Amino acid sequence: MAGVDERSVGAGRRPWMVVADRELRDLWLAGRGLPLLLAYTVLLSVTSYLVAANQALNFLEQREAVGLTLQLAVAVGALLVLLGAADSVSGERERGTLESLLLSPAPRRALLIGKAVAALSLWAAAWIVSVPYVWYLGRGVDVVGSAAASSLVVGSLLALFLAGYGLVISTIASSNRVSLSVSLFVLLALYAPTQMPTAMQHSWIGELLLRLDPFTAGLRYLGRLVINGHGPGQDAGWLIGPLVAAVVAAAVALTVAGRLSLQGGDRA
Amino acid sequence: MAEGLALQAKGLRKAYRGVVAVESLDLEVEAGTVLGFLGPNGAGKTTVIRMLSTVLRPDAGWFTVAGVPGDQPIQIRRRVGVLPESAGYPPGQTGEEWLAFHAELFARTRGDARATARRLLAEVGLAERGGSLISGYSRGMRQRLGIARALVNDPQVVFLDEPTLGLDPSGQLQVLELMGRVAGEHGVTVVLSTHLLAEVEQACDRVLILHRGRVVAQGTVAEVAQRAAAPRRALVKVPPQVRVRALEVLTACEVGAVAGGGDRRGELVLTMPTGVTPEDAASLALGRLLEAGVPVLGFAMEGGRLSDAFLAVTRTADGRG
Amino acid sequence: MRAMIVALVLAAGLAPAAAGTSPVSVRVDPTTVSTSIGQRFPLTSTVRNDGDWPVSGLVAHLNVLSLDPDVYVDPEDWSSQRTIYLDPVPAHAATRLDWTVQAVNSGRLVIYVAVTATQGTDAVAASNTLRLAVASQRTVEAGGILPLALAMPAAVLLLTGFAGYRRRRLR
Repeated sequence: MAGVDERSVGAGRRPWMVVADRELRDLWLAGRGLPLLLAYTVLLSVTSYLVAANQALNFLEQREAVGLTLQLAVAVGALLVLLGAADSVSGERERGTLESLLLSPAPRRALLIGKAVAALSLWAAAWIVSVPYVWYLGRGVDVVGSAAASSLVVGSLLALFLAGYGLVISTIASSNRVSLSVSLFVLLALYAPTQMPTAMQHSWIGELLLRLDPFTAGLRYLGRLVINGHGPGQDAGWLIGPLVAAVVAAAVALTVAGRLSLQGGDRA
Repeated sequence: MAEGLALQAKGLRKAYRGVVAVESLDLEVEAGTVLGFLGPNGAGKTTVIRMLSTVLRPDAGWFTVAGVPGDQPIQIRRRVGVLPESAGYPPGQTGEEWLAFHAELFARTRGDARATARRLLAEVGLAERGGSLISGYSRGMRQRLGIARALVNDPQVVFLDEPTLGLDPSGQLQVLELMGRVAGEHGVTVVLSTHLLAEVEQACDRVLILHRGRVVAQGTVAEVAQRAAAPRRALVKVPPQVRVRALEVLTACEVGAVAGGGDRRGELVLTMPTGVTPEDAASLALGRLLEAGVPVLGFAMEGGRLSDAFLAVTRTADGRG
Repeated sequence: MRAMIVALVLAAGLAPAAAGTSPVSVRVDPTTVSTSIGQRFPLTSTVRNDGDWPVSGLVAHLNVLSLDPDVYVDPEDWSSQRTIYLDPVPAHAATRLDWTVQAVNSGRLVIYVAVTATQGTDAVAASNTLRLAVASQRTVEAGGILPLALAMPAAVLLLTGFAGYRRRRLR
């Protein structure tokens, strides 16, 4: 049998893949993944049915129906990713299973990447589930392809941002409750600019806020492409916020990985 | 770095938010030793184990594990196995899945990991339950699963933190037997952290007593018991009608302090001094009683055990001794 | 009232350039289109400078209106590029502008192009009209989406049940 040092040189799968495999199985075969997806699917079904039942649906409203479905998919998918990521480390800490992970020679970064993959799978599932609804609602209005592609791009950027953010909070939070609370609070704060008065949204500061907030920026881009029929590159500037947020969150999460420890906030 | 040392530590210190958990730990454990790690609650045992297994970073001091210095945590983790005190187990996984997962984290291939998991499950007596969800395991089964996890990387040093906690006597026995087999068959150095002094006496080569973050005694069981000046006592049973005569004889022979047995009229408690071996003191006391014609119905040695040493050193450390 | 507006627009578009008026005229092609809702179609407008001097600073703007007073039209929904700033048009020359328009409202509609200059004149040259007939097409209805709305949760429920069955089997 190979000794510990011989084995350590590229024998098996990469640690992040091992962790990702395990986390995905835990989430989808033994955990909350499918019940969450079921709730989300029911929400989409109810929303789509109510929209389709609107007898006065015209072309624009059909586009808006597609837009609504996509906004739901992106918003709920992002929420699921955030919940998954926020629970990933602090939850293990509270369930007492983190110490076994920390005792392995896998780099801390690999542990977080594996958990991020599992959290992001929630967005992937949400997007896949939304495609049939988008296809049906978008038939005849020449929007299905662009809607599906743009929602995938926008949703993936937002999911990556929230996965990174959730992992950071989960790593440094002192408890799972704190991790989930802080994460949800920030998510609500990101939604807040959508409630600004219209006049303020059109002011320079309002527009700046909307562009900086990755959520509002992503949803704005989606809306203009799907509802207003703009080309993919026409409003690409709105994607800068989500892209920067995703990159920064991922970088911070990988940096904070070194602080992964049994006690939140302490160095390992 | 000394040859043949599985564990070595100098000046290890750890504090949590200003509260010192481990003051200054010095340690040397030879390879192949079964070390009993004793201490009351809050003594710092778990903190020491976590530092040595690189889960926690010490605030001061240095250490080596299996010859690897403490600043190479990944190399150390490859060489140690740990059964944590409050280990949790994922309820939605089977024992085999969980073991195989950890085996893969130690760079085994998937097939090798599964084979290792099955082998270890058989070794700890869980072969038939390896395919069942961990949620259905009893506490004893989970502890055995945890020991299997500690062996998944063929470690050179194994830390078992309270492995018998919460188990009934038969479960405790199973775990201790397993630990003995592991130490014997795998040739690993075992550090057993436990409250059960009888376990240490039974299973360990050496013992280290920790109290309030400091080492207060270490050595073989016999060395610690003797060095700690544990009082030796003997319980002498005589017919009640000659109890007073026996008391006079024992007091006169100055073999130690004598006290009545309280409500038990036929019993006397003889506390032997530390400068005399218990065997000599017992021989002298028995001899004098027999010479004086006092019938001795029973003579039982008490004390001289690790438990007494433990209490003695911890009380001394508290300033109560 | 709407018919009068349409007539004035037509007259302005067809009137030749007179002394003191702008030498610029504009024409759209085709003049009639029949399509269905959601379809895109091309539209060409030709801006002509009948004057003796080049004309610069011209701005062309696409307009859409419905002949049905109950239909609200937002031209921005029809084309994302509704304003074109032209290069200088030489004397007695023409410039062609291409537009892509998507029919987002059904019914009878009119499209025309108006051209003015950024400075020098208050005149607006309006084109002839493109008469548009857009057929409505209802592709979404409650009955049609019901199978999808039921099948998707059912499929996920089936997967959930399978996962639960697997867990029970492993106990």
